[in-house]
Amino acid sequence: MSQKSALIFLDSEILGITLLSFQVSCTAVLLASIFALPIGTVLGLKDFRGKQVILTLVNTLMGLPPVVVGLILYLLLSNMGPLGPLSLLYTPTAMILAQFVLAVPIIVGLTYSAIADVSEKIVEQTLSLGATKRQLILIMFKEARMGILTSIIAAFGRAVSEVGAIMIVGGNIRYFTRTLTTAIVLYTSMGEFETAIVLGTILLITSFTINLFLTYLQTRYRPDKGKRFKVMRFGD
Amino acid sequence: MEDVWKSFGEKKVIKGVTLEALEGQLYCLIGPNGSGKTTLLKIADMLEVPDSGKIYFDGVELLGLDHAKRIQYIRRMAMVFQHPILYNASVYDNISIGLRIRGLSRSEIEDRVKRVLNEVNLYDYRNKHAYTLSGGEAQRLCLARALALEPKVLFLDEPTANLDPANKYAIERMVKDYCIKNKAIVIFTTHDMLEAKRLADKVGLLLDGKIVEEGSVQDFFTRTKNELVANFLGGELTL
Repeated sequence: MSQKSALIFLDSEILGITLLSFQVSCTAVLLASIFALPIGTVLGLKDFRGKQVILTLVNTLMGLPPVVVGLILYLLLSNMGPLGPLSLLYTPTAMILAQFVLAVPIIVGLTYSAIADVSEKIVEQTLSLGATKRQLILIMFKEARMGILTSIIAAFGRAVSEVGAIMIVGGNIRYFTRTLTTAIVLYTSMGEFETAIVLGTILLITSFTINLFLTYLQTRYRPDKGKRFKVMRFGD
Repeated sequence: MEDVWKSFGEKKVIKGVTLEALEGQLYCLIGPNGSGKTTLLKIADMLEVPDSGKIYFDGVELLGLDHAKRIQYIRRMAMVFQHPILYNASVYDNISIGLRIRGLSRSEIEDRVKRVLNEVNLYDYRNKHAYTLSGGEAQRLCLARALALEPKVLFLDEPTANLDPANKYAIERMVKDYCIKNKAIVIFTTHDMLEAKRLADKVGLLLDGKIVEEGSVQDFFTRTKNELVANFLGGELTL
């Protein structure tokens, strides 16, 4: 690593950009989890009219182009838009909102899949033990925890690597809404490749650290940890 | 239960079954595959709602109760299914789950789990993941989970159907002991007539969703005059 690269790593502006990036993404994914986990759970547990349509919609939204989200939010948040009076455009809150919109379908879709994959026999056994509806949902959550954490990991990955939407609604304002991804775009367009590469490295290292923690949570209850394990489900 | 009927779509699975079991009685429900044994047990355990009929527990009609009261009665029953159903957790947690659902104290949960683990000879496996158990061990775990609840009524749906003789006899012995010691009602389904002979106080034959014969184990296997029963038993046991 050159001396310049080392200095970029230690630069207070870069530190601020890094902190803002993860603050925005973590907040967005946390809020999206609170909002989307119950929806995914209900979709996984209940059968109702129109469920197929909702699932198709969720699956479509999982691949939502970020720039489209950015554009729609821009129109909503701009002075002319219905949310204009809130003055959220070009603020970190607007960026959280954009990442929230992108993360929700991923968490809903993958949580639905994880809950629906829990055997019907587990539901029957749990009800036979005298569980209330609330207890049943908690137990289902626990059974589906690996899939649910996968949904959160995937949503975090999407949020932290996002650039199009936050560029539109955040504006990439120095010391205020500049994140690692928008800064990489900026420095690349300015021809400052070394800075862009260092920022990319920071993004990768911090993402890796956060995912390491989430993966630890995801796998800590696996039987015979460390060994290759063939899942055995009796009666399926 | 009294005059219970149940259909799935057009197919009538249970056709007007009336069945009574008393305290301390082990009732063996025998019948061929597809005769409706599992559905009947699920109805009795409130996992299926019958189309019509009544289910009584200690003289109280359960189907008319509101959800909260019904759960109180469900918590006095337990069921072991034909295929072991395991939670993605340790052996200890698999057994304690029903006790946690009932909100028992930690020390009481520990005492009960320890006791039943010793009874089913799985104490040394308590910290292992349940998925690593063999089929026989897994079924013993499921029985332990049910026994830990100290149920007044215990339903067992062909619990020994896929087990080797050693595990089969171990489960039969534990069930019989539990029934006698706790004066519990045990309803056990099987299509193994010898098992029914070994275990039962009372036997009922379910054919095509109807109880076609019922009686004490002695009467059922030796004095039946019912042609359907004789056909099912193949003649040899009635000689």
